[in-house]
Amino acid sequence: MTSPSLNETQRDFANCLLDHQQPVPPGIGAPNGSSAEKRFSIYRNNVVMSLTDVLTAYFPVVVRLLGEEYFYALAREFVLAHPPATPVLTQYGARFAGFISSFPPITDLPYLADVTRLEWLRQRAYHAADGDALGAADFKNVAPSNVPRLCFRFHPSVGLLRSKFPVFDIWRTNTFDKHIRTIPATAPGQAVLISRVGMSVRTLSIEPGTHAFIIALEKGENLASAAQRAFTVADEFNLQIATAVLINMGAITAITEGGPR
Amino acid sequence: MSIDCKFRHNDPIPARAGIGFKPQHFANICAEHPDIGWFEVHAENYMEAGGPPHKFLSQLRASYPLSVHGVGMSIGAEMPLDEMHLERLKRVCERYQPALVSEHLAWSTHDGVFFNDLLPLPYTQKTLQRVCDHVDHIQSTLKRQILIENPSTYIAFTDSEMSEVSFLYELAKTSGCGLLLDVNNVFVSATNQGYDPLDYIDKFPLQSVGEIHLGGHAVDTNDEDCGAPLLIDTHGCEIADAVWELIGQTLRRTGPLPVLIEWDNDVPRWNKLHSQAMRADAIMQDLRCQHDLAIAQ
Amino acid sequence: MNHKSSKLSTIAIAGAFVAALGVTSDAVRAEDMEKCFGVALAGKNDCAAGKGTSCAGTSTVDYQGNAWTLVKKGTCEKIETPLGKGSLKCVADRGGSFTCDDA
Repeated sequence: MTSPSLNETQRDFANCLLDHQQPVPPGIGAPNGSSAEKRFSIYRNNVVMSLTDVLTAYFPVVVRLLGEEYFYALAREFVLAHPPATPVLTQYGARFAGFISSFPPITDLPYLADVTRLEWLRQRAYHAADGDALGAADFKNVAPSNVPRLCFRFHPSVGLLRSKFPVFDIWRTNTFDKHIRTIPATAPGQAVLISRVGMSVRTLSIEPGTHAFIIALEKGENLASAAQRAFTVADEFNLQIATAVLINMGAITAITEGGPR
Repeated sequence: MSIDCKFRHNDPIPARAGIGFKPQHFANICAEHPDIGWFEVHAENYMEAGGPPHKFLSQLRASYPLSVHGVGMSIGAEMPLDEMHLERLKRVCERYQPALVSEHLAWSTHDGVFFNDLLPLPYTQKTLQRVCDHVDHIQSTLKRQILIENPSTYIAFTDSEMSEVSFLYELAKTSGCGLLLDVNNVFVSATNQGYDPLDYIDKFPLQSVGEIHLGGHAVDTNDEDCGAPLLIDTHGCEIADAVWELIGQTLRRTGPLPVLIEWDNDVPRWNKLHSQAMRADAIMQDLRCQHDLAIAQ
Repeated sequence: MNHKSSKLSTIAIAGAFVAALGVTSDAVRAEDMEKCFGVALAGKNDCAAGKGTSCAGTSTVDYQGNAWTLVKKGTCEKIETPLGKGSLKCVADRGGSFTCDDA
């Protein structure tokens, strides 16, 4: 019998790593009188636990909401169903929210997927490209007549989320409070703006109008057009606060049209 | 936030103890400017576009010699190397100009899936050819020599045709790569596979060794199920006394070398990690003294 | 619509914009988890075995489908949802609802 090719060996090994029901592939010896099955399980466990560690680090609020034991079990299902496609593990977890939203045992926590999305946006903001944010002083020379036509370029770390659930309050109490506050079922949904300022990732709850305003600006619409959309979404939209939010969150890196002078 | 680190020159990696850099120690390092010979980082943790990790590493690099240790190149895979990943490794090397670049004798990717573990290889002529081709490709892309590290193993392949040491000897000879000797891995694998770790060191092509790794391992307590004894390469605790013994014997054969302290899980406070490095430095200092004494006599 | 048009006049927009430039950062407080140099979200690529790695550590429990009987022991019981199992308990100890004072 000819020995399998390296590719066959690795294919079989890989299949066994992810499918724990499969027997250990042939050709694997367990020294010291141990069983090949038991020794092979070290590798299986390594894959699951090392990737679970990654998810635990990037989704601390999901961990806290579910408890460690439950989270580990959930992470194991995710890891085996969706192992990483790249060796750069800072990019591992993009599909976790989608997995959670369709995982039958946790449909009783309908907000969980959005909390996962919020944490993922924070992770992406941490690693996003650097950029120099404009401060209030950088806008001082804009002529008032040009203001409605202003367009902005956003910092690469800027992320937006709109949820039917009070996702920001859930995130905040699970991040900062020793004793978790009760978040009532009647609480309205929330929108969240995330950006990185210097070394820190910032997370801010924003009004629905502000959310619509920023979305429009991100698409390249000018200030007047974006404000129009914001008013369509929310009558109480406050342009002054929305603009102050963007500047203070370090979200704007350039004026791309109708710039200063 | 800017951190004011003392700047040093672009030194090569000295024959001293170095430490695997963890971001949680950055504040200690900048505040104390510890007398550490060098630092090592995992290449894959610096492959994103921006953010704090690059700020940490830029400042660290300005102050200390740096070694870049890849953990995801999957050199042992039969499938072609991931060219995008190699490009990312190249960018890290261009940006940070490390004095040493290393990878593992292992595979971790198959058919587009990354397993995040350093998986073992059958030591055959076919595997050797494949690994040589991959190392060759990496070295020509990076335009530099790389070091390849011996793995920790828990199983063996029945169709292996040669020992791990012979495999690494041939790899270094054919590809021109250097070797990274992980003494803890030698101890872990030797224990798990039932061979003598010192015999492994004695047969190892020590003239090719450019760097040594030292980390902590866990002793598996479930001996009956696993077949005793079984050690796991966790990098999650202090280096075992038996491994300190083995590194002493290794360095007596090689002379002082860059020796890295690795601690990746349950990362301790800076002082505890630093003390492990000082212990490695003390071993090498003793060796130097003994060497000087021998010459004087 | 008149009401909206008046809000969107050039003068109104410019006025709001200029006023925004004077808003101090204190007025727009963001939750800032990474005090000093945040590291929790840093890269996690390692070359070590994962936690709990041993023969004993490998779970043989099949959590799929009906076998998934684990109980959530985290803080999710504090988040009331119409579907949430912990609703009754949460209604009882609802001390005061928590509102966000940002933005």
